[in-house]
Amino acid sequence: MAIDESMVPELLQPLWKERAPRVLERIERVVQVLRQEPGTSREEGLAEAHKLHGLLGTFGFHEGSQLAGVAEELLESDVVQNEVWNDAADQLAALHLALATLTAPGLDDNDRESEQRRDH
Amino acid sequence: MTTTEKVSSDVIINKVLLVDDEDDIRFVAEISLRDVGGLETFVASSGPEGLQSAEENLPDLIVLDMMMPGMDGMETLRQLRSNPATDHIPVIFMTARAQVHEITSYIEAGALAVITKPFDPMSLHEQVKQAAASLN
Repeated sequence: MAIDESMVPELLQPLWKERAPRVLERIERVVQVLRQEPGTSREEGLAEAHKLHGLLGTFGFHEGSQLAGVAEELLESDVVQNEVWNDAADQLAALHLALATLTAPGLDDNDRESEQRRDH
Repeated sequence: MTTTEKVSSDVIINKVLLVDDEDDIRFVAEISLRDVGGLETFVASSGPEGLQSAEENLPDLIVLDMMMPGMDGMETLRQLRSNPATDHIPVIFMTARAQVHEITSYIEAGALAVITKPFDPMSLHEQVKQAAASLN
């Protein structure tokens, strides 16, 4: 997933740096819910996916916003966990990795590209 | 910085109240309305808090999140309309749920306009001002 810092409007970059850890936690939580890990609830996943849907695009991450919207629709539907849920979880996990790499302290652009290549 | 924006011959937008339970959305929207748009911006994190702020600050317009825990946007709008002090204040709903039938129901309930999430922080203030101009 192609993510870079220029996606975030300059005016919002300080806020993004401050809030990114919480956003990452939320993405991780939705992934856990989609994978039906113990201690997770569909209601919680739905609420987090809904917030991420509205939030990620506002920070400039439109593809991430769409993925969260898909997760929201899945968690709201009558469909029981299936392959589609796993696909959505995998895509959100990839988003999480890309955003985590972007916001990792002390990395320059070359380091980030290397990390993303290694993890894929 | 606060400025008075004259958006049409009769509609002046100066003070805006933003009501949203989500911290990050409030922070971004506040930056957009206040720093980019030059509007005096009040914020509230729930329907009840929004009702109180509306009565105290008498904003020219309210930007109201639809999905909030407890009192949602629709109920907040109903209560704003039932209070003579706030019944005249235009309300714009902000929501990620904006299918055609949903937008229609929001407008029928008395919303001036609907702004969809995610919104563009660089142009949110323009959307708000354009909606206010439509009051003419």
